[in-house]
Amino acid sequence: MASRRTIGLWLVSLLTLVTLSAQAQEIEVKRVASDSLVSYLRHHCGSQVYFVKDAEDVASYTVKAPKEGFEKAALDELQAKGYAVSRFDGKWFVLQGKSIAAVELPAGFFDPRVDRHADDGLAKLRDEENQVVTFRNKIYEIGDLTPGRTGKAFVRGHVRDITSGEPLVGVAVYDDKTGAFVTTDSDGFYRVELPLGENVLHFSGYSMEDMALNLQVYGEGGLDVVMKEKVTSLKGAVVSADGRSAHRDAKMGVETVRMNVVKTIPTAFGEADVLKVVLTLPGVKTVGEAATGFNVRGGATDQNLILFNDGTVFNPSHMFGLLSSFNTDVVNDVELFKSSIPVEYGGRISSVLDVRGKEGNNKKISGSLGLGLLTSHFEMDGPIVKDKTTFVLGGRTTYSNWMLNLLPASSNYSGGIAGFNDVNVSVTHKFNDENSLQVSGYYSSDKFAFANDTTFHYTNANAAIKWKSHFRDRHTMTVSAGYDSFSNSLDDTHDQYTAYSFSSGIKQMYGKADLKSVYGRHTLSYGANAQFYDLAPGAINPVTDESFAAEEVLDKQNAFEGALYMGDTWNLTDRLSIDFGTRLSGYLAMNPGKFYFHPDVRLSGKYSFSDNFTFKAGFNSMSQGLHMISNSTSVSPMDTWHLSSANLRPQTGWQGASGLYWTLGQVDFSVEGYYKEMYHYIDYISGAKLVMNPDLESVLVETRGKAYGAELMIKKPSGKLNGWVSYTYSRSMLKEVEDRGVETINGGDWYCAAHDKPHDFKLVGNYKFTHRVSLSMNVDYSTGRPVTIPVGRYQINGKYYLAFSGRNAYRIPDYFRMDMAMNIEPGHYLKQLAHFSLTFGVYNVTGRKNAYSVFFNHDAIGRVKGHMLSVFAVPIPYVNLNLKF
Amino acid sequence: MKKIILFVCAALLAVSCVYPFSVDDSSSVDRLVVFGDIIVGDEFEIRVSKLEPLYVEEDAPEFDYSLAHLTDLWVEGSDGSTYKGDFSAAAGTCKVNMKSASTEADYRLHFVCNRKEYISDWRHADTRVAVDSLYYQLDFEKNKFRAKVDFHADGSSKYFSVTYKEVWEYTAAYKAKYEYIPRDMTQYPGRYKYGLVQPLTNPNYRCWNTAYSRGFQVLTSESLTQSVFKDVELASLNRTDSKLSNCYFMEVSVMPVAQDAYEYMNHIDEMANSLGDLFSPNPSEMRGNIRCVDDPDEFVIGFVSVTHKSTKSMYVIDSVLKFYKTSGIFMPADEVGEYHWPSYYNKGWVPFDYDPDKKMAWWTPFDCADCRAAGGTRTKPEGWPTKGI
Repeated sequence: MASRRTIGLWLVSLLTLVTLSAQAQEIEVKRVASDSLVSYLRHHCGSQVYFVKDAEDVASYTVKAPKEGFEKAALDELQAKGYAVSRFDGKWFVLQGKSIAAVELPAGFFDPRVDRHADDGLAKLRDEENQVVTFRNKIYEIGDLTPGRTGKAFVRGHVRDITSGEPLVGVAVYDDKTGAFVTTDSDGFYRVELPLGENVLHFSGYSMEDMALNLQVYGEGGLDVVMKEKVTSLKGAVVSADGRSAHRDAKMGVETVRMNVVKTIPTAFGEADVLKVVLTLPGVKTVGEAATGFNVRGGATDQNLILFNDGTVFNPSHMFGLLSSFNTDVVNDVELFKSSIPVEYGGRISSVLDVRGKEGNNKKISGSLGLGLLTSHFEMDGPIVKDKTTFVLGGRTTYSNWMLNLLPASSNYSGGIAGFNDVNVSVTHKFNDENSLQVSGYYSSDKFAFANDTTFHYTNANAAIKWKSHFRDRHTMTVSAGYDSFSNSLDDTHDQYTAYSFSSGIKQMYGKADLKSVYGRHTLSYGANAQFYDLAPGAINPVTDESFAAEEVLDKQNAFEGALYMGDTWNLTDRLSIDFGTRLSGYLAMNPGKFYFHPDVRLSGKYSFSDNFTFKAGFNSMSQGLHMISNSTSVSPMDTWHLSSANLRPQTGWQGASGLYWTLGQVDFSVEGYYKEMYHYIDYISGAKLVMNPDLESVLVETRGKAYGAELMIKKPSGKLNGWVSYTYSRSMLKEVEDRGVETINGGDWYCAAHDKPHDFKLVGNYKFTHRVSLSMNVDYSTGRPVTIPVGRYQINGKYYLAFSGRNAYRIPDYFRMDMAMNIEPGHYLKQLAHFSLTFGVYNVTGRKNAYSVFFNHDAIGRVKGHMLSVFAVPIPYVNLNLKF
Repeated sequence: MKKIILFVCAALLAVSCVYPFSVDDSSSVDRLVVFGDIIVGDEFEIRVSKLEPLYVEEDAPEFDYSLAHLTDLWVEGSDGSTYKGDFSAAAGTCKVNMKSASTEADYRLHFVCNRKEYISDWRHADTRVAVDSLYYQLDFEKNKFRAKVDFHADGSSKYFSVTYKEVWEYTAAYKAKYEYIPRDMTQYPGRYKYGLVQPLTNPNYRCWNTAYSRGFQVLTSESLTQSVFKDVELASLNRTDSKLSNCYFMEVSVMPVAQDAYEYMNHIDEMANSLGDLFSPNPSEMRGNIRCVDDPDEFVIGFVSVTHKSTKSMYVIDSVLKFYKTSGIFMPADEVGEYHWPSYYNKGWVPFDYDPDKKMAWWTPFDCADCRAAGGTRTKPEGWPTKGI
């Protein structure tokens, strides 16, 4: 009775869902689910189909074909939607993942007369030395069977994206039984030690489908894995890859920025921006929404090491800080280290932002195009030699330059320039599974002038070559060398008698050798860095024949910085692990020579009370020989750099931190507290001349800094509703070291740093209505930043001048902003040539007039009037159209 | 299409705005302010005042920032000379005459205020500067008169302060040939029921006014090959500015100053003018060269330089220049019968013309018929080139 009822219901539903028009020649099935289509094949075409529906498959199918070709058309359609269709023993197998032909060898495989290339999947398996895994229901044999052997063996390999072949970074690779846990590195490489015998190795990556592979480990061996993107993440994973890493890894304060998150977070003018997303992380602040640079846990902007493909980016912004220098299309992943900074990084005392570019699709040419209100960007990548050599080419430009020329002359903006360009290029060649070489380059240029007589220009340029090698199972070596430069210039021609051109710049050449070795429960990181700085503090040249401007070139500054480092990640037990190491950093200032030595310490440890509840603590000390010379609140494109010298000591600092991490279902909770101190941070005497000052060090004063705070974060990385909410309480204070009498800043007492904003609340949320449509929201609240304001006025020759309060004694009004965006993703038709995505949103929905800065002037009768400048004072709607192919 | 683009451009530029801002609590600070330069070979003024509150209500009484407690002031020379200040000027202002002072000596300022003694540091005026020319340029396109100066220095000085003085002759809108005497002030109140309009013998029609450059202008030749300055703009006047209506006089004074004086003045000027830009320097207080002998930690605002002055002057007469244009603003004038004279008088108007036959007078507001209302005086400066009085 029940079966009759089931059949009846099935028929009713089939009739309801399916519009069937079986004419004499042609069959048409409209808008049915995959299982209904398969049922139709079974019942009406007599096909023997073994079908496992993808739990997340909600696509609808329409097939129209002549009766004799209907089976093929339907199977093609299923294949087009991502299913693997194989024929074996007269039956069709429609499964997720790869062809079933990879499981068993077809008949005649060893017969040389049989064309073995008839099955691509099989050919691929044969051709590759390592197994490429996409299929789950299989036992993979690793290593050579050696009877009687016991103990453990390393399993290593790369984890890549199934469609593009791009390495997947930060994928958690673990074995629940032994507690072995690693994450893939920037090349998607992993190496995990497993006991010989049967193991289940799990792979869990952000927004990727989790995998659990059955391994039979006989010895050391390779296992390359390809993972596919979780097409629908609405139901989410139980524990995210990030959450899992937080409990397995002893490192603290490591934030990973996912590129798909970057593309959904609303930003001004809708330009997807890596740095703007970094600003949504707890502990990261900025002095203003259009400001260049960011402050991490109370550190200054010049205390962040910003790396792009290993090269240092000195000014990571375009257009006064409206946009960052990074083209999101070419970025693969971003990591911010704000507490536990790995030993291989050095040279800055606050944080490291490591932005890594794509390697390029090794399967086919792909790319993207984007049109925004301000900029357009493109990216193209693909194989030069399939599976061997790939390239990435990307670029951006802006239209504001020619748009300004269209403005009426009366607008004061006509004829102005506000433009930028940037270009990224990289080529990666894989010699074999163990060795690869990457050559990359980056160039960005900004030029702006609102008055026709003054032009600012600055450029970043980076070039790098990197060789990566995995050898003798347990070692990985990365050797890289590169050249980074930043230069800026100003041409002032408003007066023909004083017309001049000012320029300054910094260049650095570096070489690095980083090694990683695994010995039992120890993972050693060790290596050496060497860096040479060549800094031109400033030069002035006359630019007209009539100009009296004197040609002047300040003496170059040079320094050499070298470091030897060694660190160990020691997993004492499954619950307890320690990260410790030291970086012996030497800085040699030249002309006159002075050597500074800093043995930097890195120490962190974790103890997991359970699989989802962990305590961590850490301490690290850092040093840096480079100082940014800037007396403005925001980093200016005209800021210069200065090297530590015989008279100016390198900045040093240390940070102690501890935290609790708790994962409950899909939600990660964390609370981290920190205290840090900074030494030899520079400030300036009042009225200091910072540009073209041959005796600059005489106007610098040394300060000591302290910062402390607590960061609470609740993160839900997957599911229909995903995102994070964080609250930070933090302080950042400075104090002049020297007593200069009445001129000592703030009388020698502690004063607030310009970025001291005690309360900071951030919310980044994304709600997926369907697989294609989602709504993103971003909320940002913080205490207003400190400012120095006038407290009195006085007259000289009938004009009023101002007397000021103590340094940063007041605050501008609190900051609040809410942004919203609707994202419409392309359809998930895998064979579609091009995919359009559309984003429209509103930045600063409430139109709150957030103060960027305050200033004071006088009216006609001398009364002082206070004003605040709001950079984005109104809601800013935007539309962004992106094409991916 | 172009309109759409312009709209987009305008929208982008319109997203940033400036809004009023006030601080609820800006506690008042009590500081002494000292300004003026010791000019060797000339007479000069030193002003000692105190800091004014930042915010002054519109209806609040004028704040008296002058310092009545300034009890003594003198300039001390390294050659043993002393030049006492003259307190006959306004409170807080002191004149010092050093016309006979030696150029070889160093000098410093002393003053006593609130029973505390203050001194500046020793300074020497060792460089002379020459004003090469003071001239004007007429910009017919923008209807501007621009006064400019060229100067150079032979010595090692690279820092200069430039000030100027303007004197101009101007007239009231209407030449008042008559004056009104209210009924009660006439000899025969019964006869002049509505008051009396009678001829005026000395109308306040032509005046001379004086102004000084506001604040200060400092220049440096630090980045120049020579201390030569050309086309330094001093003042820019609109073509309709009444300063140009008759005769305009300008005297420019250029004084070399020390590097620290330049940096001080440049700093406070920058703090007053450049704050608020995205890339403005952070505001800060800079110490001048005045210190309190009795309390070295007291912060005194101000810088007193020791310098020489080089001057040059010019007259610009409109009858020769023919550049001035009247503003075209309507000056009110009513023809009024005697019945209305008292009411016009009571609202501040005065008669400037009169028809005795009709007993009708032309009335205009006081400031249109009396040049003194614009701040000038009737005293003709000595050596003034035009003849009118």
